[in-house]
Amino acid sequence: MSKIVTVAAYKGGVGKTTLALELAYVLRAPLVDFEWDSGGASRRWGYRHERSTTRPLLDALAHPRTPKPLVGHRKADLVPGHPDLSDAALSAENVATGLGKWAAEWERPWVVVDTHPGGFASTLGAMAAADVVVVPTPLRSGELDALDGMLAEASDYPLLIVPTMVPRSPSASLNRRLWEMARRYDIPLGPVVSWYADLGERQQRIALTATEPTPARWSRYVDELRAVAEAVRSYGDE
Amino acid sequence: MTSDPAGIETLRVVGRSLPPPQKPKKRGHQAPNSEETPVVDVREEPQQAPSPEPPAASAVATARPTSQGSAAKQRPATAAFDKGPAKTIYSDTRIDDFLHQVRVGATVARLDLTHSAVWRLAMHEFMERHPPADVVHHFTQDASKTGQIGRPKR
Repeated sequence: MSKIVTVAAYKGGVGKTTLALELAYVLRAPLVDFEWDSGGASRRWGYRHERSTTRPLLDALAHPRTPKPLVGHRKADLVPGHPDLSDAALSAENVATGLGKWAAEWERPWVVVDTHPGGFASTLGAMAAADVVVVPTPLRSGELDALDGMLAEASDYPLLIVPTMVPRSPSASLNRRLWEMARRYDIPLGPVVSWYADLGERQQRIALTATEPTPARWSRYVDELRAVAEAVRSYGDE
Repeated sequence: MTSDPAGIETLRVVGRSLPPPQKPKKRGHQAPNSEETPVVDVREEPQQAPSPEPPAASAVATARPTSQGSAAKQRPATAAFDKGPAKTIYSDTRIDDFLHQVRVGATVARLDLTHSAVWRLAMHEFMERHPPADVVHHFTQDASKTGQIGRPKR
């Protein structure tokens, strides 16, 4: 039976898309992209909505049917997002139902869902359908404020907080704040993903976890991503 | 004129409601233990120094705040030290990578473990094994290979 992993956060720029793209490849999962702004997973994957006459994700939700993921070479298969998602009258229930049905029909062990930042219907629906909701969280004040709000609303969801963009010398007070939040809401903390200044300059479309051999400068990052994937696999096992 | 022409009160009441999770989280999973102590800041507590076993590099990938027991394994024991003057140490890439891995592992274990604390630990272990004469002898041997004193000419 397929398990759904939703990558979600109430704040943008926390590393959702990067994590979703890599997680999907490591888990050999199709990636469903609910991001509608440029700069999301679909664009980074190499998909151009303006060159297509269809809106695979929206059309599948509007006329209940299962979309066929685009096949990725050295990157995850993709159900691309579309700008029209922003105006679509989606309900969280429809999204959750659709994702559950697609995951069953795709017959893949995992399905990864990337979301638009914030508590939109599509994000909430993807969270409702998820077996694990990965919440990337940099150790920064604004991001921790957003996390606090998210945990207050969604503490019953199967959340896994993954500290991302962690600098070489993380702030002790912010670290303490993250731990106190995780403890207060009874949410597990996953493996750390460090800050890599060069990551934003990378232009290749393939997943970093797919590079063979892994370039030396990315080897630690790839190890960290695989550790996150392992934490997702073992979520709830203990 | 109505008392709430913009309907603001209505909006306040409605708010945002989340759908119930189809697979709610299981209880008793890996949340931080409520009895764990908060982050230990080595810099703020000069009476404390790290244990002989800082978190291993592999702990970075797998360490999770699982329980008080596992956190305690990674938490350095404390020992008194006399705070000395600040020194500038020129590191190399290998040492820098090691210190970074310790730092990340310590973050997972809720420790604010400074590079200085790890360096002090390394130095104390080194001093136990090697008297100053040994160290001098080591570098004297190195120097004797060239037959010259001081930095080799480029």
